[in-house]
Parts: sequence; structure tokens; C-alpha cells
Amino acid sequence: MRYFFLVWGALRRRPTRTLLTLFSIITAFFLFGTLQGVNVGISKIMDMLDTAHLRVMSRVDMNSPMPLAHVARIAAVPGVTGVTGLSFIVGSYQRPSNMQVVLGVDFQGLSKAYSEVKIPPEQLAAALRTRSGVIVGVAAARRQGWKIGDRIPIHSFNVSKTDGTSDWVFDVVGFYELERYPADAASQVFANFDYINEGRSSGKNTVNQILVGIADGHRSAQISQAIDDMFANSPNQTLTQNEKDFIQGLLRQIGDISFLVNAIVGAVLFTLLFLTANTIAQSVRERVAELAVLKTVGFSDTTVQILVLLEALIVCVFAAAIGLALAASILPVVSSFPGLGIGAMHVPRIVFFAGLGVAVLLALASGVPPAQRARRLNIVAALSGR
Amino acid sequence: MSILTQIVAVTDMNLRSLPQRLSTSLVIVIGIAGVVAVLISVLSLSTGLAHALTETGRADRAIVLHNQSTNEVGSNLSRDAVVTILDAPGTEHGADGKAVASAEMLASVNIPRRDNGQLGTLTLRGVGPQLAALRPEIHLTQGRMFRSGLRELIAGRAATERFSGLDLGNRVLFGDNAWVVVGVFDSGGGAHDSELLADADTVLSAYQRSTYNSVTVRLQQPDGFQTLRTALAKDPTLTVKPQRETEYYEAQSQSFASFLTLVARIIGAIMAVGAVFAALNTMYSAVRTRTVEIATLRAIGFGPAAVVVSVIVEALLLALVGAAVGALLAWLFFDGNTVSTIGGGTGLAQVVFHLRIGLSLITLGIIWACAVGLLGGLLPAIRAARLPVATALRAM
Repeated sequence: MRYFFLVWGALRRRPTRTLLTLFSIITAFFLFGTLQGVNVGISKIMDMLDTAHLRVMSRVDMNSPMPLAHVARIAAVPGVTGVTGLSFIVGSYQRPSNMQVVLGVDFQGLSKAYSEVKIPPEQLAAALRTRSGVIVGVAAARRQGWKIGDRIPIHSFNVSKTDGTSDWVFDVVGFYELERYPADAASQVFANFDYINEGRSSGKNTVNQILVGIADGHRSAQISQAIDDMFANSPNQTLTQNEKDFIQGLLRQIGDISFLVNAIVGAVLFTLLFLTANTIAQSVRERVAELAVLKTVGFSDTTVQILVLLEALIVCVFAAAIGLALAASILPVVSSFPGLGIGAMHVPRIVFFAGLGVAVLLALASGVPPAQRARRLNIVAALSGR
Repeated sequence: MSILTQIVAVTDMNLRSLPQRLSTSLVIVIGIAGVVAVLISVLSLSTGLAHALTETGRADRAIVLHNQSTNEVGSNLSRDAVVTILDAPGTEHGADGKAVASAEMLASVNIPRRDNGQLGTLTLRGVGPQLAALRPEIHLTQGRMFRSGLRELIAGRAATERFSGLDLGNRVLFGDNAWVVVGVFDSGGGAHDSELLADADTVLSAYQRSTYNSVTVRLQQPDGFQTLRTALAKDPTLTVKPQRETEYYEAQSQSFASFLTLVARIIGAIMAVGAVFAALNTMYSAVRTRTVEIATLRAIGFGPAAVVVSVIVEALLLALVGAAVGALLAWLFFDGNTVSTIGGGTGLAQVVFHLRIGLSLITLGIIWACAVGLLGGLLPAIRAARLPVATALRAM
């Protein structure tokens, strides 16, 4: 405890300097916490994605049509629990700017493949009964203000009908929720594939993607391979990936985010290390005479060394904790800002501990050399001002 | 002694003592170098992308899309509509009497990257026979032009550099479509450099499609755009909208590039705040070590202004050195690097572009550095000027 007062005294010796050092470390750890929070947040979303879901696409590109016959052949692959073809209708609802995508699916295949898609049984039955029926995600329903019984016209940009128009009419018969996912993830509109397939003027009996559920997520690589091998010699080759690899691939197309984040954090920490080391060294330099007095009155070399180290530790850890706490309180607010569409992100506990660990390392790296210097201090030389 | 001579004298003396305060002064230099390096590197991403896209657009061309589409991928034009658009007034006509225009169809193709073998998406653009007249900036660097009716394509320079299998003479397979790369072209760094070009009719038949994505036309000068827009709007059979190419690509670059700019500014600003604290620390301690010196100057008649200016000049100079170091680091590590990303308005297709750390970014870095230096120097300068002379001298 008496050490604490000594350290406290040393810190209060130049309050402006201590405060400014604190502030710059706080800033750095605020940045560290926020950036790593975003980084970990993204990889957490990745972890939620299931390897038990495969996505079969044409090898040509993501949305090139594949024959509908692929669906039945994939369903026969061992280990596959459910399959549905997928057709996209991209269009607008009421206003041209109000984009709405409708996905044509086989409802039975979909609910077998995706156990987390929760549709009340009577609504699922209604969807199977009603050719123009759609099951709407709760988030999409909230966005568009739809309720059961609503008739919704969608003006499609990409799929025209046999009657020459592009206006598709659907009936809302039910809602779905997504288990385990954030509430705003249930944002799709599912329609009967058959209704779309019969109504469209071109591209009949083709699907844009095929969704596959498999019993064991660990076997996703083998089953993906088995599916692609099946069509390897056909004109319609496929590219099968599990959902996780698929999303990771998309993210990779945006650019190497985590590299950028790590580079910035590296630059920040290096700058900071230099700064703290310098300030602490300077403060020890200025107090050479005082440290010599401490030694004169009986403090051992080790105690003086520890005192200097403690000073560095207290400043770094205290400031890091404040910076991380600031990041933890600000990140959820900023990331839940609508329009970003990522939902609230949190600074995970692991980042918090990592940050404190970095703070300790920082304190050691910047505190050890001056502490060493304080330890070796020769009393006579120091007091005589040499 | 005039105030100016005073300022010069004190500043000069001040700067000469800088080497004695080297290690604390380095704090400012390194702190600001970090801010400038991070700011410039992240901004070079967005300016590089914006540059690649705006380079693609020319004011004398217009792109016609379906009027509900914001980009080419989402647009759909029937053959009839295309014929009407090609006949519309306002379009330049060549010596052969044909409209200088190209009806284009976009397909996207997956091709492995050279560096890591991962599949990336590229655009295969079917173009009309007037390509050379319409886009004179496209010139072949290797091989020859594709011939219509044959499955031949020419590949953009950036596409061949970044993706494998697109070298001259290679045969590439898109599904059951085998294409031969017969040429490599350069369009001067625009978005087309990341694309593959082939004959539109051949692409349409290979993909069994009957609709185009867009029509690009060369405009008559000076008011071809107005004429074209009025003509297209009047035609009841059409639901299309022309845009000047410059405006179209400007809009395409906005969303992603402005997001990157925002990220750069936020991170840069937070780092700058940290650097201001560091600069304050340094300058306060610089003033402190020179307490007696400053007090002596004041005692023999130097005014407070000279002292203030000398401290600020020191901070600014250190900031400038920091900016130079930061800009140099960013330039060494990132300038000219090739990056690819989505966000070029062609759906998920990649745009390959070069990071550019040009004069404007470096100027921006210097402005930020000076702002940090000024903020960091001002308070300590005022403290120095307010130093009670008698007390300070007694400290001797």
C-alpha cells in the first residue's frame, strides 16, 4: 500500500503529462477494441453459419440457370436430407424504388433442408394448397407492412410472364421465423417454384441455385464433391459449397477486411508503444535525484525498479480498461444504426482480455528499460547531478 | 526590434536546440506519421476505385438502361427496344452511316485468381460491331480483335494479370461454352480493363438469352444528350432512361467508395485525437525544459508573440516531418498495389484497380498533420508565453 502512495505521488508530479499520456492510450485502446470488436463480430456471424447447408450453383457463375432435373438427382445422393431448387424474381412492390426479391422454392424440400426456418404447420399447408401463396419472413413482413390474406403484386425486372407482362401476383399465407439468427435475418419471401415456373415466358424448368440440407455438417466437403462429380461431364457443371464457405467467399470478394484492421491496429500500437516508452523514460530521467533519495533512505534496488514498473503498469492498464470500456459502450450503438444493416455488434470478452494483455505487454516494453536504469542508479552520481 | 525579427530570432534559436530534445520530438513525428500513413492508405482504396470507375466514363457517351435499374446488371432491354434506341436521334453516326453505339449483354463468369486459386467473378461483356468507334480508348496490346460468330474474346489487361488462364491463345471454358482468348486490351485503367469482351450476338446465343442489359451510344455534340433523352421519353414503347456515362460511373463509385472514405475518416480522426494528446505532451515538455531560456528571453524584452510563434512553428515542423514519413511509408507499401473488389456496378463482378497515393492524398495528409501539430502546439505555446518571468527565472 505504501508503494501505491509512492506511485501515486510520482504520477501526480506532472499531472498534465500523466493525463495526456492516459488520453492517448485511451484513444488507442478505444480504436483497438472497436476494430477488433468488428473483426470478431464478423467471424462470429461466420461461425453461426452452418456447414450442414450446401448451395449448388452453376460453375459458370452464381445465378446461371441449371436444369430442374439436377434437383431430383441431388436428392438421391446419400447423406442429403432435403433439397429445393431456387428461382429468383427480382422486382419492385408498389413503388419502383421499393425492391423486393421473391424466391421460388419447393416448400417441403426447404423445410427439410433448413430446420431453422420455422413455419407454423397450418400456414405451411396453406402455402402448399395455394399456388400463388407466399411465406414471408417476419422482418420482410414488418418492412412492407404485410399481413396474412394480403395480395401483393410484384413488378419483376428479370422474369416476364407468358401473358407478356411482368406483373406477378402473390398471396401472403404465412410467416416464417429463423431460429438462432437475429430477428432481422428473416427477410426473404418464399413462393411456390411451380407457380413461377409455369407462369414465366422463358427459362422454364431451370433453377438459379439449389439448396441442400445434409445430415452431418462434417461431411459437407465429401458430399459437395459427390454432387459436383455427378455433373462433371454434363454441359451443366455445378459448383457446390457449404453456406459458410459461400459467405466467406463473398466477403473475400469485398476485400481482405481483417488484414486491413490488423494493419491499422499494428500501426496504432507501434505508435503508442513509442510514445509511452518515451514519456516514462523521460519521467524517470527527470526524477533521477528523487529515486536516489529513495535508495539513500533504504529502498532496495529491486523496490525502486518495481516502483517504476508499477507506474507504467498502472497507467497502461487503467487507460486500456477505460478505452476498451468506451469501445464496448459505443460499438453496439453505432453498429445498430439502421442503414448499416449489420445489427448490434458487441466487443466480445476475448477482445477485452486481449486488450488488457496487450496493455500489460505495452507497460513491460516501455517500463522495463527505465526500471532497469532506476535499478542501476548510482546514488552518489545521481545526487551530484552527474 | 520589430516583432518579425523577434519571431525569426526566437524560432531560429528554438529549432537549433531541437537535436537536444530529439527523443521527445520523435513522439510527434511518429504519432503523426501513424495517422497520416493509415489515413492515406485507406483513402487510397477508395480513390483508386473511384478513379478506375470515373476513368471509364466519357462525357460524350451515354448509357441507356431500363428506367427502374440503377446499374447494368439489373437492367433488361428487349431486342425491339434496342433497335429503337439505336435508331434514336442524338446519336453520332459514323462514316458508314451507322450509329456509333453498342448494345451490350453482361454475363458473369467464375475464374480462379492467379495468387490464391480462389474463384473470382468477372464480367463477360457482349459488345456490338461499333466497339472501336465507340470506345477509342480500348486498344489491343496483344493478339487481334475477336470475330463475330466465333466464340472468341479479348481480355482486359487487369483481368489477365490477376486471373489465371486468360493469356493470349488460351481456351477457357464457361460451362459448356469454350472460348478462345484472341487478344488482350488496355483501356487506360478503367473498369473495362477487368472485363472480357466478345461479340454480343455470340454471347447471347451462348447463354441462350434474348435480352440485352444496356446500350451505350456516342452523343452528337453539343446537345445530343438532350435530343436523345427527349426522344426516348416520348416513345411510348420504351421504358428506358439514358444517363451520361460520367454520371453513371460517378454514381456507381459512390456507394462503396464513400463507405471506404467514411471508414478512413473515422479511424483517421480517432488516431488524430490520440496524436494530438501525444503532441501536447511533447510540446509541454519542450516548453518545460526551456522554461529558463524562455523566461530569460522575456526578461530581456522579447514579446509573448515571438515565443508563441516559435513553439507553434516547432510543432508544425515536426508535424510536417511526420506527414512526410507517414506518406512515404504508405507510398512504399501501397502505391501501385493491385486490389480487386466488388462495387463497380456490375453486380458481384470484380473490379481490379491500383491503389494510388497521389498528390491530392498527400496534401490531405499534410493538412491533417498540420491540424494535429497546430492543436498540439497551441496550448503549450500559450503556457510558454504566460510564463511568469520572475518565478521561472528563480527555478534556475
